[in-house]
Amino acid sequence: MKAAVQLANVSLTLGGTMRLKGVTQTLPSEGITALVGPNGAGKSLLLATLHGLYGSTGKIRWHEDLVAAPRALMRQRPAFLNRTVLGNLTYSLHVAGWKAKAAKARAMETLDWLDLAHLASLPAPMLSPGIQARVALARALAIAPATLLLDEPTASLDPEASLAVEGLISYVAQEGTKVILVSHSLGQVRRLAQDVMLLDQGRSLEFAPTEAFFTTPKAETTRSFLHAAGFWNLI
Amino acid sequence: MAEIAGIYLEAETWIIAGRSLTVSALSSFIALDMALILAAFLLRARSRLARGFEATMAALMALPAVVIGLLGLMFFSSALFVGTQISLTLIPMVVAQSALLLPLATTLILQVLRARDAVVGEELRSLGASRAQAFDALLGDTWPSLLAVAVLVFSRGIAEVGTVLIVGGGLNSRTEVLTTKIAELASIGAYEQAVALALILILLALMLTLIVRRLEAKV
Repeated sequence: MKAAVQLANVSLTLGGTMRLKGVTQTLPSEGITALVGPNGAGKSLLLATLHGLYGSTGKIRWHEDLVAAPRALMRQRPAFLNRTVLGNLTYSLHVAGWKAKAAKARAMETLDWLDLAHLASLPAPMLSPGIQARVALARALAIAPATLLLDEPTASLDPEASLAVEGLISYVAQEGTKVILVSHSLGQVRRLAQDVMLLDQGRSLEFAPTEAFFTTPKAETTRSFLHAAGFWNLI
Repeated sequence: MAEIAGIYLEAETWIIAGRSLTVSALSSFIALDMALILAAFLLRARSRLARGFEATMAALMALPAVVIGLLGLMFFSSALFVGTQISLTLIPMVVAQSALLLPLATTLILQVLRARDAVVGEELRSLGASRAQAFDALLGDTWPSLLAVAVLVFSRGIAEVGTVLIVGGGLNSRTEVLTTKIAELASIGAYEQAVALALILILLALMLTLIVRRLEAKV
């Protein structure tokens, strides 16, 4: 299996508390990998750590093709600059090294693609959380990332918008972008992901192809987790 | 001669007002520029040295203006400046007032930037913004508040009397500014003239406030 990223004994301590505890896993280079687990399991922190936002111990080794390639993180509660939607996208492109004219064209192209072009001139911080989530996804996709890290991208969306975003995520994954997705929606995980990692209390307890994860989970914690979500009958 | 509140003001008065504006504007400009540079370094600094420096800046806000004036007078009267004829000119007044305004400007600018950084800082890091790019974005996001800080700093400068009086000496036609002139007029009992000059100061403050409000409304 070609690896997108190899994690070897990755640990993270924040505020004196160990939040990730020796996570060791190889994530495949293609498709969508889902990170699931209860609240406080360390999913978002692992995603942020993969993005380089926190200094962890252990080793995180990206595939050589992905080391210098653009990588985008869409956070669960995205924040925006006091600028228009277009201004926020062009800023992220500017940071990614795009020239002003090309950045503006690319930003408009991305907004158009996500059916958000009509919002281009509106102030991004004033939008509803649902629209902001879609704008944040547009901002992440604008830089054409080779790796896309998504932290509950549909948490604030209505069912219709959620399905539309799922379609988009599937599409970019099929086009070759490696997607690592944190989600509390196991239905969504089953629909989208090719493999799933279960985290609990900062540890990686199970990693398996999606179907095997849902039908023949190995770890007791996974079975309990799936049972609580109505995906597994313990009896 | 112009008339304010029934009092006729001589041309010299307007020269003094212009001097006040010049000294305060230059001092504020220097203090704000230096404060922005310091804020860029201190914004995300975690070292003890940086924290100590920041705490010192906050404490220096309470330093009496006359103390700065006294230090300024001693500095510009020292052997370093013998023969330069710089003493008792506008230059020491600008330098001393800049030193007076710097702690206030730095502390307020840091507060404004930190508040915004708490909201968008991690997002900027996740976008891959360098420290300079993030700082630039924060300035863009907070400029109305920074403008208000600039006005506050300028107001503090133009209203203070201790520093400019001690460093400048309040010399007629050379270093006299509105506040020192008001103090002088009050000391000789020329209250009407002093009140007229005070009105000029108040008008300046009101005008600045209005300009800031107009600019903020455009954001």
